[in-house]
Amino acid sequence: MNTIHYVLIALFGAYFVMRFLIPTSVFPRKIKVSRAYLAAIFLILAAALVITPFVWLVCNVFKDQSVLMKYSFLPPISEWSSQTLNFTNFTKLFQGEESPQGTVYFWQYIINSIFLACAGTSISLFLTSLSGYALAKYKFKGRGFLIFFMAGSMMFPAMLFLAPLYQIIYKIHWMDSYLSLLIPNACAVFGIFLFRQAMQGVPNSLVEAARMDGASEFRIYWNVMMPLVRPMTGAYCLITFLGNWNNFLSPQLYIQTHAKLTLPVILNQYLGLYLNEYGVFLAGTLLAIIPPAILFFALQKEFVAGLTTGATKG
Amino acid sequence: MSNSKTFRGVNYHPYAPWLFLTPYIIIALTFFLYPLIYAGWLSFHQTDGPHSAVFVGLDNFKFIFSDPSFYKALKNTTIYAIASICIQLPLSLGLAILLNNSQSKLKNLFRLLIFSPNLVGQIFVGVLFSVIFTPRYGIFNIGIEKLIHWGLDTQWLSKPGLIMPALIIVSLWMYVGYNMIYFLAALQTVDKQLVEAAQIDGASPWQVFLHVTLPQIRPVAVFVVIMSTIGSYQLFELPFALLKSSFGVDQAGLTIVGYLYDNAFNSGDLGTGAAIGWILAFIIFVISIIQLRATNSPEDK
Amino acid sequence: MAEIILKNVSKVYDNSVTAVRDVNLEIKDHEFMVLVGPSGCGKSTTLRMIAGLEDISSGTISVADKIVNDVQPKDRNLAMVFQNYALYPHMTVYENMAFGLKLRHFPKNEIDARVKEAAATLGLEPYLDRYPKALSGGQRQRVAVGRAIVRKPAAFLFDEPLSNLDAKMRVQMRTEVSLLHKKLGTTMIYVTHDQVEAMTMGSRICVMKDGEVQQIDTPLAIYDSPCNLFVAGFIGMPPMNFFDGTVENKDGSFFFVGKAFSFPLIKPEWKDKLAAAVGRKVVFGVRPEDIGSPSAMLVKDAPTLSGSLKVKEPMGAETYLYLDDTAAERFIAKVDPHMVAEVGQSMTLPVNPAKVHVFDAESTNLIV
Repeated sequence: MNTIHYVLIALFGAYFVMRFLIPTSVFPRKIKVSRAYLAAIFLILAAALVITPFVWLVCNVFKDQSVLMKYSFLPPISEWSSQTLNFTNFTKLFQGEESPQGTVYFWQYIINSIFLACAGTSISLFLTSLSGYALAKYKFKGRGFLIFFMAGSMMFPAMLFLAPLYQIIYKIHWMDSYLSLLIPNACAVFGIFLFRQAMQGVPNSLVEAARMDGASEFRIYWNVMMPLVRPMTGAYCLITFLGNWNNFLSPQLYIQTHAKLTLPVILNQYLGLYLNEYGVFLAGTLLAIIPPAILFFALQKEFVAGLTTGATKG
Repeated sequence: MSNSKTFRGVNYHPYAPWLFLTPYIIIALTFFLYPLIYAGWLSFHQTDGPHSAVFVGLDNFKFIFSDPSFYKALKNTTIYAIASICIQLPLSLGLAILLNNSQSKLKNLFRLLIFSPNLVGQIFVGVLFSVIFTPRYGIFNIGIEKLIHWGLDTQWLSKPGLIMPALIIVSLWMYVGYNMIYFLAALQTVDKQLVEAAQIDGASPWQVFLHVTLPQIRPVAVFVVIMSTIGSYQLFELPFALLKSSFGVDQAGLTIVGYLYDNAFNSGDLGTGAAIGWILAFIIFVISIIQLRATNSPEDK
Repeated sequence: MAEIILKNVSKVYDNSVTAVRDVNLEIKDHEFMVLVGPSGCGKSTTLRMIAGLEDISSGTISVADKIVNDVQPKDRNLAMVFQNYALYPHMTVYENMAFGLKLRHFPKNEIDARVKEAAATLGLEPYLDRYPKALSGGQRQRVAVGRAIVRKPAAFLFDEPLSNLDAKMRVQMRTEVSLLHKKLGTTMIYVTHDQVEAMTMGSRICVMKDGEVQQIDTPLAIYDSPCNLFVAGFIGMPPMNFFDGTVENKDGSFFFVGKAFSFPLIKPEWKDKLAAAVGRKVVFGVRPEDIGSPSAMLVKDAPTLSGSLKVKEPMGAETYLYLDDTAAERFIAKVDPHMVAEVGQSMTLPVNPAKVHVFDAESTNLIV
């Protein structure tokens, strides 16, 4: 028996007391309340289980190598000191490493990742929303075919293109260039459809009013449409940012220069490099989780809405 | 009338929509249509890196279908996909129902917390869990030990029989919240009056769920099942990072995409890679069709 | 300031549905032209063709003597007020009104002056910094009008602008738009399905049905001599009463002979036309306010209509009586509210014989 057992027994014991032992005359709504209590326990347990690895990660990043194995999470407060909790893992992480192209520092990968995620998101946001606008608010010959083509293109798994894309990137000399990471995914059909759906919800009369006001077609898109689909923009930015940030295969395959690598690739390499110094690449992992987490908590409302529009409406 | 959401008019810039679609068309032609055709061409060729290609007919396919590693990958991936659907989705649905019924103000917080692993890319998750599964030190082993007095020394990532369970556990942690969001959105669209009507008719909570709620969230459930299957069959990064850029002892963590990666980029045979890509696309396509058929409700037929 | 002329304008959609057929319309400078008709009659399409938001399938539209078929909407110098206001939700009232001027690269102080002037005209000064969602329906409508007037266009186009307002607001905005027209003197084309709006606001009315123009004239002319059954029934509330029957000539005087009654058609100038219609199937029309109303009561030896009273609707200023004649044809009379009448009672009401109409049943056109 240990603490975990006692807590679990106490939690579920309370349920049995509420549900079966208290007489109805004392506690008339006992079934309903006890059911809600049980639901809450399960939710809290689930949330706790999900959160534990993150908490553990944060604790271990700041623990000194000497006490790494000694405590699961943090040492007791009485033993807190610069001997047990410090930034050594980060100093080691940022001390730089030798590569064929000279010393590369960890912040270089962070900058690369941030640049790629931001650039990829901006390009993709612009191109997909523009295409979505064209499909939502114009009638032209070939529109039906284009939509059909796009929907069809979504049926092919991305992995099918792995080998031929590699060949094509090689042939057009995009190897080791960020173009190979930014361009092929810049016009995701999923994003086009997302924007098309959002823009179809904007009344045509707004477009017409702008046209009467003297706006050019691009200006209508830029000054009228885009501000009106801002929630969708937020959601799409986050989804795309996450996709770019976490993208591993493309940089792994196409980027050779060490100083151009991104966080997922380098952390995967560290896994083999710092075999027993877990703290070092855990520190890197923590840093890699922070930017998307900030973005997510800033945009979480839009994100959930954007994520589920396609599923619940379609 | 003028505010209708369908078109009535013709714009005065017939070229405008085409101009707006030009980037998509160029990108789709270069990075979708061309590679698609090229993948077909490539699958009949033997290559050595991107430099040379020799026509070999169906040899690539013959090789794949006679390669025991392929069957191993197929088996592993299928086990993973089945586990995703049979363990993860019911759990997601259960959590979604609990959250949907909850009146707590913390509801949103729980939703966020349970969803949060999804922000972390598979590679980062792999890196993180490769430590979490460490014998004696990793929090997973310690937790299991505390709970059932077993498992402190279990080598999750180096025992062939434990690699798939470990993968399934990690993916459960990662994706249970993701699918939960979809189920939750679907549950929120369920007509409350129908539920109340059924309750007044004397249906038990289980009957209400089975006969009222489930039929109404069916489209989303089908969507989630198919998307999970497609995702599961394309599993690669998680085992790749978790098993330190290998496929585990005895190839116990080899997936179809891992097999593709190994052939195309470690062995440099893009042709075989393309062929595996086609086989994978075919598998996904067939399974999706079967799932769509199987989940078709009588009223659709 | 501009004349707008439509010549043989038609609109055919891709699926070969004809929305507008051969419309000829001449809107004079300073005129307030109302296009009225039931929904789907092509009035909005006509307006949108003038605006340039729809292609013209055939015919020509000219604004200020210039054919504009191929001119882009923004270059036609027209401003439009939309049914749902079409205000940009992400811009303040000020920005909404200034947007069109900004796009046309007006200097900043000129924009400011014009917006302020329009806001003063429309009583919008306190709201310039608000967003549309913080405004009431009437205020939004004013902003939409303001956005149009700052541009000082050659003509204003209104597409059912009041139909989203509540009844009281609609009456108020009606007079405001009329006053605005007086003040600005700019040509206005106004589309509505509400015949009251058409009657009260238009200098001329164009009644449309099924994509075709039925009649173009001043409100009173249309009311007094509708050119066919449709116009007669569409304009006027409650609508004109119709009875089927024939025209007969009895010893040189003409009568309408219906199922339940016959009615003398007395005006001398009708004689020739009626003579030609003898024996033909016709529809006899009489407006409710010409039956049993105070003015009808004053007519000496007025012919009468009788029926039994089924429903009585006191409106305050007048009372509507719904009567059935002996052939069970329902007709409505608009009478003095103090007239004594019990439901179920038989009534005989005088009719002003100079105000009745006879239409050809087959062509539906007016005979007299």
